[in-house]
Amino acid sequence: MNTLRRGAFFRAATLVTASSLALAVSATAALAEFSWDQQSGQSITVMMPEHPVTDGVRVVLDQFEADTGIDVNLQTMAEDLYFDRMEVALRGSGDTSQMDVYFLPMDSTAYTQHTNGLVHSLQGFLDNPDLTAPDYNLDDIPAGFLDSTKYEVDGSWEYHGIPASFETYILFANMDHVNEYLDGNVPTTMEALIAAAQEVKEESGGAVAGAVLRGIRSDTLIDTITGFVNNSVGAADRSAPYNVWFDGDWSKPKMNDPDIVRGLTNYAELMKAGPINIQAMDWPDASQFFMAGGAAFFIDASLFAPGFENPDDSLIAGKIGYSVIPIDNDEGEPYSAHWQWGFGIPQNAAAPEAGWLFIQYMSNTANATAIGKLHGGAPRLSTWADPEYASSFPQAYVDAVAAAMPNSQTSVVQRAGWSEFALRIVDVIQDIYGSAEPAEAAAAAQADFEQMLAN
Amino acid sequence: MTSVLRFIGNAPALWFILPCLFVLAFTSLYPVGFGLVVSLTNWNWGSQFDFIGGANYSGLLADAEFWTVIKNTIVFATFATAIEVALGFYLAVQVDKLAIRTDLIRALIMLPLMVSGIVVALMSKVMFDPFLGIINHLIGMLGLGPSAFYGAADTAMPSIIGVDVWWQTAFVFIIMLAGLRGLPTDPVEAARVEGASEFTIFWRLKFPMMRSLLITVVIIRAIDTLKVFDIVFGTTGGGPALATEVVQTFVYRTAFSYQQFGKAMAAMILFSLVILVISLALQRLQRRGEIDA
Repeated sequence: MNTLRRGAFFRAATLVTASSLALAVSATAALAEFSWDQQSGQSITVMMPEHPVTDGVRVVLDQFEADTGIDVNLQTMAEDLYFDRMEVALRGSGDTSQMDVYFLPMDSTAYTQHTNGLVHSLQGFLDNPDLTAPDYNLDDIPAGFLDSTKYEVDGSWEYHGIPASFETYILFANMDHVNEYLDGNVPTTMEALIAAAQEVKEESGGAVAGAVLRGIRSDTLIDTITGFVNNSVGAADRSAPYNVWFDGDWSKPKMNDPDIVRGLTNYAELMKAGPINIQAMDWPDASQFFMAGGAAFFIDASLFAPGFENPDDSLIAGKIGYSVIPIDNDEGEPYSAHWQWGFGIPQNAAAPEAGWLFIQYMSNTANATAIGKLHGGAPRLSTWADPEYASSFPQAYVDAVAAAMPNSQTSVVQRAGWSEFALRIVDVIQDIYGSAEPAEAAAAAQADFEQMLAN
Repeated sequence: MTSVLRFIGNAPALWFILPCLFVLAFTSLYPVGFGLVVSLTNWNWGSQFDFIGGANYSGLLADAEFWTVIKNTIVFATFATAIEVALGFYLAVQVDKLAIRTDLIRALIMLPLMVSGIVVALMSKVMFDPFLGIINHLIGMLGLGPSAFYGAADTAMPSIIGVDVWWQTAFVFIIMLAGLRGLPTDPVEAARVEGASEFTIFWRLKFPMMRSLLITVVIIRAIDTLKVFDIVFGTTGGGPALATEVVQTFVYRTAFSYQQFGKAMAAMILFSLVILVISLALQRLQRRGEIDA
C-alpha cells in the first residue's frame, strides 16, 4: 500500500517537475521582464530563529542582495527568544517597526496575530503582476500547506504566509538497538511499538530507553500529539478551524472521543518507556538524547533527520531507520500531522514591498532545492522530485516522508488563544503518564474545555 | 491653620521638589495604575480590550492551578530562605571566629553569587542530567541509582531549592559577617572576663544584637525567593506537570504564550498583595525585635 502511494507521489512530483522545466524555458523571457531590482536601495530587516531554513536563506542571501539591490539585515536568535521577540516586534509602530519579514509559525500563533491585525495580507502582492514574478508558482505547494494561514478578510480569503518548510511526524529508529533487542524488527503498529519500547527498556535494564519523546508540560507539544491522535482517529473531518478536536462546532469538543483518548494514551505509554527525566525533555533535549544513542525509538518532526544524519553532531548517523508513525486505526493507514514555518510580513513593516520580494525569492522554485537541502522539509512538490534534493537525504527518510504526506493533516486550530486548550490536552498525557485512568483524565479535560469555551 | 501656614511657608521648597515628584509619580504610580486597569480587562496584547470587572480575579481565585502555583512559590520561598539564612549565618559565625586572614575563604564562598541566574540554571541542568551529569555519576559511585532530579515530580522542587541555596547563601553570609564584625567588642570582652562560654556569648550577646539585621536579611531573601523566575525558567520551566510552576513562570506563560495580559496582571496584583502581607509581617517582627533590644 505504501509503495503504491509513494509511486503515485513521485509520479505526480515528476509530472510537476517536467511541467516546471517546460515552463521554465518559456518563462525565461518573462523572468527577464520581471523587475527584481524595483526596490533597489531599500533596506529590510528579516527576523528568524536559528533554524535550518535560516541556514538555507544565508546560502542565497548574497545573490538576493545582488539581484535586487535590497540590503538585508538578517537578525537571528534562539527559538524561545525568537517567539518573544517576534511578538514584541509585531507590536512596534511607525519608526519603531523592527522587521519587514519574519519567520511565521503557521499555526494558531499566526491566527491570533491575524485577529489582532498584526499580519500583513500577502494577497495584494500575489495579485499584482508588477510585484510577483510570472513564474512564481503557488500550485506547486500543497493547498493544505498554504491554507494554514488563509484567512477571510472582508469577505474574501487571503494568504498571509508562504510555507518555508514543513515537518510531518514520523518514526525514527536507532537500528543498533532495534537489532540488539528486537531482532531488527521495526514495529508497524502502535501497539507493537509500545510493547517493543517497553521490551528494550526492560532488557537493557534501563540503560537504553525504549523511546524518547517531548515530555515537558508545554502547549508546543500539540503538533506532535496531533500526529498521534490523527493516527488513532484515522479518516475524519478535520476541516478548519476546528481540526480533529471539535465536532464541527466550538461548542462540541471531542476530548472524550475514544480514538482521541487512545491517541493520547499511546503518547503517554511511550513516555513510560522513556528515560527517567522525560518530563523535563523538550525537543532539543529529546533529539539530543536520541542522537547520543540513548533511545531505540523517537517520534517527532521529520525535519530532525538531516541533523541526525550529520556525523559531526550525531553518534547514530547512518544507523537510523525511518518510517511512518506505526498504524493505530481501523483503516490500517498511517495518519499523521504536519506543521509549517513560513514567511510573513508584519502589518507594521516599513518596507512591505521589498519584504515581499525577499519572501518570493526565498520561496520560489529556483531556490527551493538550495534552501531545502539544509532542512529536508521543502514545501514544494517539485523540490521532492529534484534528484539533487532527494539525494541529499537517506532514501528511507524520503520514502517515509513521502508515505506520511498523503494522510498528513495540518495540526492547526484556527482559534485565538488555542495554546491554553493545547496545554490542557498536554495535561491529559501528563495525567496518564502519572498513572491516571485515561478515560477519567480525558473526561476532566472535556469538562474543562466546555468551561473554557463558555467563558 | 498652622499646617496651611506651614505649607505656604514651604511653598518654594515644594516647587523645587515638584519635578522630582512628577517623575516619581510617572515611573511608580503610572505602571501600577496601568497594571490595575489592565487587570480589569480581557486585553490580549492586541485589539481586544474590554472592561470585564473583577472576572480575572474571581477566575484566578477559583482556579486550582493558580493555588498550586501559589503553594509552590511559598514552599520554594520558605525552604530556600530558611536554609540560606541558617547556613549563611552559620558560615558567617564560623568565619568570624577564625583568627587568620579570611579573604580567600570569603572569596570562595561568594563565588556562586557572581554568576547570573540563567547561567546557574543551565550549569545545574547539565550537572543534574541523569545520563551525562556529574551528580548522578557521583551518586552512581556510591552505588545508588540515577535520579531524574529536574525530571521527576518528587525531586524537581528539592533540586531547585538546592540550587538556589548554593547560589544565594553567600548573600546572607556576607551581610551577616559584616554585621558580626561591626558588633561592639566591649560587651563581648566583658562577658569573657566574667567567664561566659562562647556559646553563651553568641546566644546572649551577639545574637540579640544581630537580630534586627537577621530579620532584614530574611525579608530581603523572602521577597527575592517569592519572585523566583530565572532558575525555574532555566531548569524545569515549571514542570514536571505543575510541580515547580511558580507565580512568575505562570504569569509569563499566561501573558506571553496565551496573551491573556489581563489575567496575568491580575495574578501579579494578587501576588503583590501576598508579598506585601508577608513583608509587613516580617517588618513588624523586626520592629518588635528592635524594641526588645
